[in-house]
Amino acid sequence: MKLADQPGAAVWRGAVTTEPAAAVDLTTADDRALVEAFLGGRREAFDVIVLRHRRQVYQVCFRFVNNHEDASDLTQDVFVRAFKGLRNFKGDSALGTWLYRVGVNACLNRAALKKAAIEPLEAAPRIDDRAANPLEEVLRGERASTVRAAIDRLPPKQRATLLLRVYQELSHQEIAEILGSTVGAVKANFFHALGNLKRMLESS
Amino acid sequence: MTHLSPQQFADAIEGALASIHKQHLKECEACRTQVASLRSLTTEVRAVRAAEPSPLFWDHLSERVRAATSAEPIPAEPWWRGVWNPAMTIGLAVATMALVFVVRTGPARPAAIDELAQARGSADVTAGVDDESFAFVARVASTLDTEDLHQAAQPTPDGVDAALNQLNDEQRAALVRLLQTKMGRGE
Repeated sequence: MKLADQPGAAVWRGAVTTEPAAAVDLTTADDRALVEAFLGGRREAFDVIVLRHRRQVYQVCFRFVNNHEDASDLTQDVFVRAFKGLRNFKGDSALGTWLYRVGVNACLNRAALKKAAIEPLEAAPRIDDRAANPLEEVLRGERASTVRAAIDRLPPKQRATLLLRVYQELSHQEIAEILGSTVGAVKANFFHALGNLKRMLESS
Repeated sequence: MTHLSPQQFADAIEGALASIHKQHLKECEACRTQVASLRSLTTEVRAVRAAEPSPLFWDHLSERVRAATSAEPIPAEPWWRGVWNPAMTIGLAVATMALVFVVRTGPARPAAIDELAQARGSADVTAGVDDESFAFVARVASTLDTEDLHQAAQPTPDGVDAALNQLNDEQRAALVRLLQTKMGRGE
């Protein structure tokens, strides 16, 4: 799901409050109002932020680490960091972009500390017996495992760029904001990521 | 032949290559093959699905986050956030620019003062000057050092009195005559 498609993805460019934080209906409030309500003392506003963005944050973490346990730990860590750092959110970008940035930084830090668990190429894919053609399903699963394993071996910034572009469908500009980079560098990283991926898949 | 750059390849893979580079892509088989190959790979990567966690996981995740933050205080809102707005930003920027301009340029300084300061000690500082008032000021200024001259040019209440006290009898009499002439009460 694109950031722009998310509910409450409105960009917060200031803090001219038109309604007291206590009066805001949190279930229908946009992200800006939620942040204001939270900073104004309404702890439950953060629950709505988590509810609204948890799937996207989890997905990017899962794509990065490739296993559910680490991804769920990272997702929790991202939201704890967000809780503590939300006062630093300036509203120059969408809250979703800011959360992606926190998430990608957490993933990059983790990658620097611990080499990501690489899915072995010979790992047996799960076979869906209900598939119309089980053999085809097996082959597709094997190929998907090989692609995932190759993505895991990409340099962290190339991996982040590829994942954000292909799976999260973020624009080059949004990725540049998240990675603290330029649009030109993002495009170059995207190209190099695909080139490296192609070489790895050919050699496997 | 110059091939596409990495950025241009990225644009070409996504079908966003600028028209100025499309001609190269038509003529260069190597670049065309590379673009087609990477575009196909992108499609394949996109098709790799991520495992979807159990539906129960999401609520569990929210509870974990709530538990992990329950002991944390809500961060205080910065004091400026409540009063900050675009108009204030623009106003502050204009005020800053005006302050910088004033500090850097200072009050206007008459060019004649510099000329007088340079002429100090010359035999005839009034040569070529027709205006009687200017000639008088030039004659007086020629007896002052630079610091006194600056004080006279940018007078303060005390500075004017001090400057008058420094005049000799002849200069003081000339000043009186000049003032009377200018005020229409000749001798």
